Amino acid sequence: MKRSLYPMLLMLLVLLLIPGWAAAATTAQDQPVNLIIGGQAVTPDVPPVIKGGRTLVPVRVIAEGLGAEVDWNAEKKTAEITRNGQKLVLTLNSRQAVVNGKPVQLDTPPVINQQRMLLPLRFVGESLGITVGWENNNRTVIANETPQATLNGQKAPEAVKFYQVNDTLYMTVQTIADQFGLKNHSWKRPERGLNMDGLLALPLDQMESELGGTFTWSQKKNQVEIERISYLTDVKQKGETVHIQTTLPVGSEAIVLNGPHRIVLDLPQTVLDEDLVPLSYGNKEASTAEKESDEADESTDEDGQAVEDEDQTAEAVQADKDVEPVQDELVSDLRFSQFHSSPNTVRVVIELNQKSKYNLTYTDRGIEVQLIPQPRKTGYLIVVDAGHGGKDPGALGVTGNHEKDYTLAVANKTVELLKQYPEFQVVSTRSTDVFLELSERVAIANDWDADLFLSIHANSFSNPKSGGTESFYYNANSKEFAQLVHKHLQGATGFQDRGVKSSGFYVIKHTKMPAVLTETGFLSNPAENSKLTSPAFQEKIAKSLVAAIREYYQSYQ
Amino acid sequence: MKNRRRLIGLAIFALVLVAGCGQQNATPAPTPTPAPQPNTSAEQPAGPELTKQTISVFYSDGDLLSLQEEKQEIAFADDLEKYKKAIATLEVPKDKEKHFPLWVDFKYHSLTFDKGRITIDSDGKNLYNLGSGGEGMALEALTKTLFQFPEVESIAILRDGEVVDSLMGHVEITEPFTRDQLENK
Repeated sequence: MKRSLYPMLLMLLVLLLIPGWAAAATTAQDQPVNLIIGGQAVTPDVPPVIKGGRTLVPVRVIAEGLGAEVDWNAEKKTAEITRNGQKLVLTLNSRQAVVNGKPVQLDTPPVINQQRMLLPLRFVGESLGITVGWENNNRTVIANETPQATLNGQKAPEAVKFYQVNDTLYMTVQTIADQFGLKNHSWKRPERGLNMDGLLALPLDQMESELGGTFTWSQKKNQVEIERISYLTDVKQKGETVHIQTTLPVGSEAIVLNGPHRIVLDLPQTVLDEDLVPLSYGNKEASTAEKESDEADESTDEDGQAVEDEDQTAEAVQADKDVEPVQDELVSDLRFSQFHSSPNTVRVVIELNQKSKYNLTYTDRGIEVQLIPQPRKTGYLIVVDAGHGGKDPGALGVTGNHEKDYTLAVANKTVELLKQYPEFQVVSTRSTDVFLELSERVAIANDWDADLFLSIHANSFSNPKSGGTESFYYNANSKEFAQLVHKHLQGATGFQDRGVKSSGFYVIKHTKMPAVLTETGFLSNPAENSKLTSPAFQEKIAKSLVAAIREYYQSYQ
Repeated sequence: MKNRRRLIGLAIFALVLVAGCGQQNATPAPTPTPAPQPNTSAEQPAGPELTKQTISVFYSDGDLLSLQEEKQEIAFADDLEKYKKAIATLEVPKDKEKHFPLWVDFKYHSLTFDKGRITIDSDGKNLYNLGSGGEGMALEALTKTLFQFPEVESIAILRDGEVVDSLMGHVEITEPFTRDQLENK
């Protein structure tokens, strides 16, 4: 008895001598590894061990607990495990395993401990179709039969895992919430749950109070039925908010489509309420299909349901809410339809008269779509972009002047001049000394669906003799505009002609409309700088830019 | 008997510790890289032997129209120092009459190299006195200089640790520069 302690003590000693492990040992708490198999706590004669992050348990646990047959071949040192037609061969101290005739690599080989062969529980379990999980809070390995799970009559996703503790079945919660579009759902009673492989798992009855619907487990048949259909009861507009009302919470990411502007939401696991569209439901086909499914044996329950669903697809339910088609209304149309019936998906379409951003709020009663209409384009829209600004001064002029002040002065003058033309709608990215990210400048132009984008800059270099005017474009649709801008601008400055060049600068690359970036002249060149800082010269520059825009508008519109 | 149990428990526990606490995959914690000092140029008399290499570095012509190549020799103890010396060399052309540096007093918090990528975390206080064309040339000079080292596959430039739209307000630097980009230019 005493002698058997020595190897263990020695092992402990070795462990403690290895730096790092010893440090960990001093901070950790003395906790054993527990086993729950088929819902029951199991205490094998040889305790489970964890090796390489895997729990190893005696063969007997696998044989009795999982109801598998284990044949030990002493000569070959192999264990042959069979259960429900699944066959698994493991070899002592070898990472090579064979699952149904196919070789598989193990992370942890079977070992002998106290004359018992210990097998990796998760690998063996999962190979035999058994669910195995690690409950971290109680340091417990839970293994049980994988139940046949259905979600609204269809096979539940594999990612939804079930764990049995005594007579309670737990299920991973977020994996099922994802099916209803409920991303990062906040759970009311997480403390009632288990932490399985890092995921929260709650008892089925708790799931009902968390998510609604019914979660039933037939322990005898080991079947789980999740019935959680949300019904779309109404879609209505109130001012700039569209209320999508459902009987149970659902989540949906909106898709934005253009031409006409539409915001589209697909509601998962949702069907149209009968009261909403009286003609769409209570159809004969569905009940016929139900009868058909009854005739099939119990294991094809989900298939039967699928038949029923397919029949409903034929309905192609579509409904139109009456919204007066007034031109000035933000929302021009509200539509909803049973977009899919396998799985059930309702599509809600909000059609808009004008481009609009939106905020989605998910409530217990559905989804609120808060529309944020974007300013409406009324004319030929020109975005004038004064380069740099705020914390970004841009280049430094020879008299200590900043590029950001030059660009703002010219941009503001240009905007004022353009406003004199009623056919033009003018938007500036900045009209004061503020900082904007380049992406914000681009967003302004693209969100407005601008027709032209003009970015005003001034140049600089370490050689004070360098000088000249240059203009850049990038996208193919911008070349003509660039040539016109450059012609007028260089004509106005009279500086050296550095030409029109193509270069992928951020603001002219990511804007969708014809876009040009101009470098009027060099702030590092004393002669050019003195002109660039003169208000009269700036006015001349602005006029030349306006002339270029006018010519482009007249030639290409 | 009691003692034995306790010991077994302890032993199991020790094994558990070795196993890295159960089934969770232990991801190795990222080892913090010590922030190297920018522009380390101090010569250490008793330091390790330095490797010397002649490299290509790029400057502008006098008119900010095209890149000009120079061959310069740098000496370095390791690859990181090689990159730093190369960057520092971008500020000092030999031919001061004809070649103008596109980088002046460029400071960065750190320069790291990992899996083929150089990451330069630039100092947000830097002032760059260049227009759009100049910025384009400056970044071309920097990337051409660093891509001559075959192990460099991409170059990421951050500002104060963050990914930003642009360094000087014109050229996009949200995505790292890659060798292909340069070759396609």
